[in-house]
Amino acid sequence: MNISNNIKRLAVTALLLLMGTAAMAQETTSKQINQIKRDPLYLYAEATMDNEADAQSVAYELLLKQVEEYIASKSNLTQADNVLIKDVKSKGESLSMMRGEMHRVFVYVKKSDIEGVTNTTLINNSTGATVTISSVMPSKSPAEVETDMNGMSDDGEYHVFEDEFQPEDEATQRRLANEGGANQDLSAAPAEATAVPGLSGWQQQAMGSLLQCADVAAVRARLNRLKAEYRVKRYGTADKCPSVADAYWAIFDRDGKLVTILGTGASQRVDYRTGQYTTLEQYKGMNALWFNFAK
Amino acid sequence: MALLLSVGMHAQDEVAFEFSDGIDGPLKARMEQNTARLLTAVNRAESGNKDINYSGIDIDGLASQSIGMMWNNVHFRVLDDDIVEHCLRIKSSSGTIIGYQVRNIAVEMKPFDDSYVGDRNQEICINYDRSGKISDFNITMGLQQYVKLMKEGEKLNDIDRRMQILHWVEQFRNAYVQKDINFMENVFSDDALIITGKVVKREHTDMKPINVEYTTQGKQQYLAGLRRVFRNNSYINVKFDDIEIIRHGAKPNYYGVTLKQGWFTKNYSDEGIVFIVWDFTDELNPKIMVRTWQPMQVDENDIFNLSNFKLN
Repeated sequence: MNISNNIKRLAVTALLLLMGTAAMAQETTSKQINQIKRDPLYLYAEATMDNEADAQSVAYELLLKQVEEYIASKSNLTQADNVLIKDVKSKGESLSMMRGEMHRVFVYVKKSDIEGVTNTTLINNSTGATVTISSVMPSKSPAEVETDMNGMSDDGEYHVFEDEFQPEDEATQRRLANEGGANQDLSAAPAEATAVPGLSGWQQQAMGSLLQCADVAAVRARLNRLKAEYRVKRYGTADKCPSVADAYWAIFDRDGKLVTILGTGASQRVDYRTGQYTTLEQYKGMNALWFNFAK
Repeated sequence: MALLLSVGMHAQDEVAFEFSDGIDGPLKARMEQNTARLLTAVNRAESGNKDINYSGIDIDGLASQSIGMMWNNVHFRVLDDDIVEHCLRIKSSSGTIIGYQVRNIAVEMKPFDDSYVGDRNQEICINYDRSGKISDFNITMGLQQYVKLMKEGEKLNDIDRRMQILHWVEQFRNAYVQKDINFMENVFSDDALIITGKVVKREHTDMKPINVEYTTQGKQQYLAGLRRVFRNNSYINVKFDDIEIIRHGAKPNYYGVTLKQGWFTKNYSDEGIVFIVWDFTDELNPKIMVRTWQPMQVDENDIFNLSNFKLN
């Protein structure tokens, strides 16, 4: 009996010691976090969520925002041609601890890891990948070409794929919702879309978001969203276009994947993906949707 | 021994608070002290199972009333005894600072009984006016929502307005939890339109499309129903998820907010899609012009949006 009681006492003592150790470890991490927060050499962010992966993802998003605000506040950085942000995820550090049943992730990076560099095209996005931003400036001005009202010099028809505009099934709707079809991240959009002539600021943003769409369904969803925001006046299939020259055209391949978006024009139109001038005829036989921006 | 225990308990209730950045000077020190006092007062009240004592705390009457309403339904306790956080600036659409905010303050809910339906661990945010007085106190919604909305705000260059909208949406949610009928009375425009949908049951459940019947109410009718609900339920928990904010293209002071609402009381719960039209013409006192509720089964194309309503 005595041996059994002793074993029980030992087990309880061991358990209490373990709990105490865990609590002390939490307290140490918490103190460490506060120390970093107080240190002006660091930028930081944190997130507390149900699972650690989500908390880490959100924490890094918030840290990137801190980095962007820090850059904006530093004139020597904003004046540089570009800002090289060393990879936030590899240079940044993180600390984790439990907060009740939730996971708390704290991430931080040294301000000295943020530099201003000229003539570089490396910008870090929230995924940690580097993206090269290419220019979308048109390389030449369009030549004046006389065409008929529809901007087509022959009887080439554009594929009408009305039969492809079936209402999305539930799975597609969910996919679009999960992809945030109407709210896709513009972080990889060509920065020089802002310099493209003929588009106002909000139109450039709208164009950028459309270029992010993968396929017909995503473009439709995005156009619907832009319509609800009164940024797109109307859109439709090729056979319903009242004025081909005045419309923007989203071009799709046979699988419904977005190839590019062309600007307005009687003949020569800007290709918003490449910045080159091209014609609608180049895409004869391909699927297309037209749209007009609101004034 | 009792004295030692009492001293120990009071020491554990103390909360130290500091801003890491975002504010400087005497205002910073004042706000830090004020916040520490409030959070300590909350913990002392929780330890002693009594009301929060606001003496010595520079806090707006409405804010203390708001905390009190929450306190009447559920107590809570600040988890950390040493808090360091960013100070966020709340700006008007013209860029003027109209207040400050601190987020990420972790609390543990301490319900009275099993009628509480919600997460035990929550985060609160505290708002301050320009003078540093505490002007609001809310349980925040999920961080993922916050990040998503802020990113959209960066894209559309109206991040300050979105922060305001988020704050008001959080207050709106908390008003249900706090059973704050006065807030509801003030936030709904007098000629607000409230539309509620319900699914008409069909004999064969695999038939599509879903038939939804809509009921229209005015403000007073809706509030009368809400008073009954507040009276009949000891605790109401409301969750907002998947929040989307769309600015009206032609009338930039109007915003449409679509969200998924979870409603939980002890004996009833449901989920639906809520659409709210906010009028931010008066930024400090925005009004709800339209509020609709639709069941989750509603077709995506039938979800209410700004284009369904003509705004003056």
